[in-house]
Amino acid sequence: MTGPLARPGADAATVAAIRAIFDRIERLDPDVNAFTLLLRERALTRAADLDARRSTGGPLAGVPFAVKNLFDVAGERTLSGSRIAASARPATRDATAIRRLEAAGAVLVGALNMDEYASGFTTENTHYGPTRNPHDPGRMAGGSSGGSAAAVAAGMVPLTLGSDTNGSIRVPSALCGVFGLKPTYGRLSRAGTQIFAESLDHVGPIASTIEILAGAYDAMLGPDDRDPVLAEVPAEPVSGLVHAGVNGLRLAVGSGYFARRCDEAALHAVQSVAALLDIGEHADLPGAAEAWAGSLVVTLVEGSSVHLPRLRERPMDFDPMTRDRFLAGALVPAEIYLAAQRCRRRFRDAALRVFERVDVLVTPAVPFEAPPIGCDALRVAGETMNPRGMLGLYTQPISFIGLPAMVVPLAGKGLPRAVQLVARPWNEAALFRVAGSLVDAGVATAHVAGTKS
Amino acid sequence: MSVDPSATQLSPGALDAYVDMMSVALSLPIPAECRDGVRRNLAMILDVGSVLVAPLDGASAADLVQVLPTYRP
Repeated sequence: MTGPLARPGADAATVAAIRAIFDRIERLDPDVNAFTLLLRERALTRAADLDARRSTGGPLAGVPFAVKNLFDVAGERTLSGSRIAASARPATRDATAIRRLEAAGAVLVGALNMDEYASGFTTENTHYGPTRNPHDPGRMAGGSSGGSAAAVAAGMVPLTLGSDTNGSIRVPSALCGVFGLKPTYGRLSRAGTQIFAESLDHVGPIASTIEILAGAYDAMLGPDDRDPVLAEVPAEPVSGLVHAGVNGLRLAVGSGYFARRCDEAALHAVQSVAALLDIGEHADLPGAAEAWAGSLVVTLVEGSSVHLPRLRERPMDFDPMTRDRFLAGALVPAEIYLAAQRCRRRFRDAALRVFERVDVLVTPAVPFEAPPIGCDALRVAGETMNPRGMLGLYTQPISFIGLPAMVVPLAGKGLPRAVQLVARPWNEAALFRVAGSLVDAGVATAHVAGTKS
Repeated sequence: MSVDPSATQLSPGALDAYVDMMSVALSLPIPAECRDGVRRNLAMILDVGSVLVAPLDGASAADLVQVLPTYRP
């Protein structure tokens, strides 16, 4: 392999490296349940092609990757975590994001488990079983891109793709201890993905290193006529900025909403980052609680709209929790949906005012560590919480207004802890500079099972 | 039929009437097995929504905080 992000010592043959990846997946995945599809023939054909033209392999040459199973893969059914889609027609072409990663030399090896139709934070999938946290198989991997985060955390692949409507890249990345990026709304093409909530959906990478995360993000940038919400903005690649340091960036620690209702370890994670980067400023995003609630309304209404025909024809083939949420979403009065959208506008305006004086806001990623699978009540900060809803406490307001955000896993023993970095629209570069500084200082690193973190 | 779906703390009877009315209007049958789950989810959304519809102040934000932590999807 020739790309700068290729695995060390893999010069001999991409084919051999990809075979080894499949051996590893087949050995590890029965305990994790991250994969729902392996693409051995496609991947080995692609690897042989890369070996044949080693000198022009691209920046991700030979890097194996897998995708949440809501990304279209030509010739395969796009399951979206559902039973219903298992009988749908196979996709006729790859999602744009897959095509761009492959154009940069990466090798697609499979598709990954998720909450049904991306509705959930736990990947406790009724049809395909729960994805287990590689650091403790009795605990949740998070969701809805749970397979994507767990596959990286288990060391099966260094790069995956997920989607994020309310936190579905960031929550599992935090619980599994890997890097996860939700770019600005409209930054990366969603063409060829199953939409959950049209005005909230993003796609993004999950990776074992900040360099691979940056390389994948850069590779996916660019215009695409197939995604009507893609913004016409400059591509602005970030790989050259990861180790540029934080000089000149105005950093602040989340206060108010972002400092309440979490455990001590979540606060400590933020404080440790603040101490390292000498952050003295604090900032809240006014209206975050209302935005959290508003995002729930918009998600359920838009999600139910997508699935209305199937809710009429095959309601009993849904996961029961998804079905009941979507059915309820279909019954919501327009007045409430519009109120949620007005709340969204107010919150966006307030947040943008904060980001006139702050470049990056550091907040907890999730309120608590990975809960046990099946857990529906936790006691945190004096409150009884249902983790299925509360896992998105700090991520939902951010995606509601499309701000770019990254989860950065912190070094340490025990279950992973992480922080969320948030920036103003289109300023992904600042997120990578802060994350790179934390990596360079030894504070941040992915927790990959079987390696020292 | 007079149903105010944006009123907080809907009575179970009013919620049932609203679900029945909308189910017919949308040609969206609600299977008996789903009814409790749909009612629970809808009650939560309507409670949250009523706070969003109303002018926001400290008290209404506090209401949200009471509703959501125990929400069981």
